[in-house]
Amino acid sequence: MRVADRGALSPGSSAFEPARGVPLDLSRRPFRKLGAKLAMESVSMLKTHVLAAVMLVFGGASWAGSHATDTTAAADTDASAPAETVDLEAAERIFRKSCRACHGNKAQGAASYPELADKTPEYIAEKLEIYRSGEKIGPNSILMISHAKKLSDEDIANISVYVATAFD
Amino acid sequence: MLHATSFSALSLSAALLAGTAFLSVPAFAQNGLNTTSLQHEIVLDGLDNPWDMAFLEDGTMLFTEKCLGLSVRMPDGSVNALYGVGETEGYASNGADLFCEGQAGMMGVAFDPDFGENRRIYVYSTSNMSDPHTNRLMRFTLSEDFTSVSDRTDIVDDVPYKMAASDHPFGGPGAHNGGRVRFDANGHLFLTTGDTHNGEVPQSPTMMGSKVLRIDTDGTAIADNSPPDGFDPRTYTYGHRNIQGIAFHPETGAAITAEHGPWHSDEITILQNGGNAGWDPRPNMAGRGDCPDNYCGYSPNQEGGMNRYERAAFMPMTDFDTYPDAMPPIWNNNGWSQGTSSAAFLDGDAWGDWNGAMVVGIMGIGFGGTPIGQRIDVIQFNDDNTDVEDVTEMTLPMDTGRFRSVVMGPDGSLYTSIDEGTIYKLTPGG
Repeated sequence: MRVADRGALSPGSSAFEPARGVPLDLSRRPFRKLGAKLAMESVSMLKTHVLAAVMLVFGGASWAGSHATDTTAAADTDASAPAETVDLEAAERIFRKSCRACHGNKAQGAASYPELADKTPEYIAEKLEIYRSGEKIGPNSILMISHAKKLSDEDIANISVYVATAFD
Repeated sequence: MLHATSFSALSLSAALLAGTAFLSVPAFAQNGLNTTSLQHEIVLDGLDNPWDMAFLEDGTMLFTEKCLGLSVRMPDGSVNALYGVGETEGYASNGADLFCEGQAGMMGVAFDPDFGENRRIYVYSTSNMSDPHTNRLMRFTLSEDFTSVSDRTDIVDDVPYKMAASDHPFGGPGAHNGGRVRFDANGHLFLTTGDTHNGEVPQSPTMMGSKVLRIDTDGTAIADNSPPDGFDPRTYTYGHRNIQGIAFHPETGAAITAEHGPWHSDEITILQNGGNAGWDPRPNMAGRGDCPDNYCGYSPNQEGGMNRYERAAFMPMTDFDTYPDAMPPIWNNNGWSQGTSSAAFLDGDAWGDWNGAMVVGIMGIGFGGTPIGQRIDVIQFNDDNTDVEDVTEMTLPMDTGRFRSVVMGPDGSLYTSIDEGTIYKLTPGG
């Protein structure tokens, strides 16, 4: 386990639960900003920001509820945590095997399958957690549940950041 | 009885020829069939789910985008937006009743064989003009300057549409509309349709889903269509699942479909006038009990992967036990379903050994342990053109994608669109 606190990752846990109730607001895209930064900044900076992404993904319930938008502040807040990264290469392997055939080669959406590249890592992780719990939340839930059940917490952390940032 | 006799003969010859093909494999391998070198060009990019294309001899290309509408790309590369879906902006005119939902929207397109004389084109799209909504085949007149369409006439207005979500994978509204629109060499218009996740549709004599319609350009049945008594006379074949590929053999003229299977058994089938493709996903028959929302199409174990042959035994794509005279598929994709979509025949010496072979676009699937399989297959027929002799995956000069459409261009190139938004031109040689 390389990210955050496992307790916060359990589907249905109190730490994760509030995020489900937060309506999706695509105008609020802190992770899109983060993705742009990832492309530009140094490796050391990248680690810090990715950490921020991970913390927001998995510890982000209170963040989401409070509508905080400043990723820099979030990173500062978490600066005392051990520096970890998401594994984008591992994420790409999962993407090519499990996501691409339906969601498109750039996660741009295809056929009746929605775009992912325009979503935030938080949104992707939230949905994957729900699918992994076996809960049906849309017409293609059966497909998504079968994929999500195979994902570890680490896989979800990796793939969430990857699909939301790799194709910017 | 006529049908039964001809099907039996075909089955026998198919069995004999399958043996011949097997013995021939080493020789073909030495010939290196998969060595055709292809060049690729991006014709158009950044499209919204391009679904189908149609060409004139000068390279003029009609194309549809599922949620946007119909456009034409002129030989000089300029694009005119002709007829928009719903309120889509930027089109010369719009069909306010047209909409997209899930797999539904604007789909197949064709030029009239006499376009030079009558300026007519045909487009298939989902419409809310009727309740419940339907899929419609529309005929238009295209202006002399290729900038607008007029005279919309809905020559088919009653192909079923799935109104509500159901408890199935891919279970959203709008599922299984078929959608390909093609003319054969006789000038007959073929429209392929789908089962809309409704168990009653495929074998229904009157609901026009799961059919291949053969009609004239007014939408009237061709006189010698010979479905069983009581069937809608527009029916050329029935009992299909969701056909998105149809092409006509250049030598025999036979209509040949490429059809998307239910987690198993994508099928290529040589159609027989009046034939039954044998898909019948109703519950409480053929050894099955109840199924989710009265549709067994994804049963058993529709929420997880399982062996494809066990699936096929429970819910066959072609149910010979129930329908012994069903049209036998000549290819079943090794038992896999990987999103078989469209079909065309390669034409031109530049294609070498592949000249005259069928190509099938496969969109890929990411579920239940099935290999994804995004590719274009080259299907070579036997000398009698009654069976598949060899299948080769095309070595593509670009990345794969969801190959929704394959269409032979007038320039000897194969054009293919992927759902991701690109239309490619594939040219042999180089």
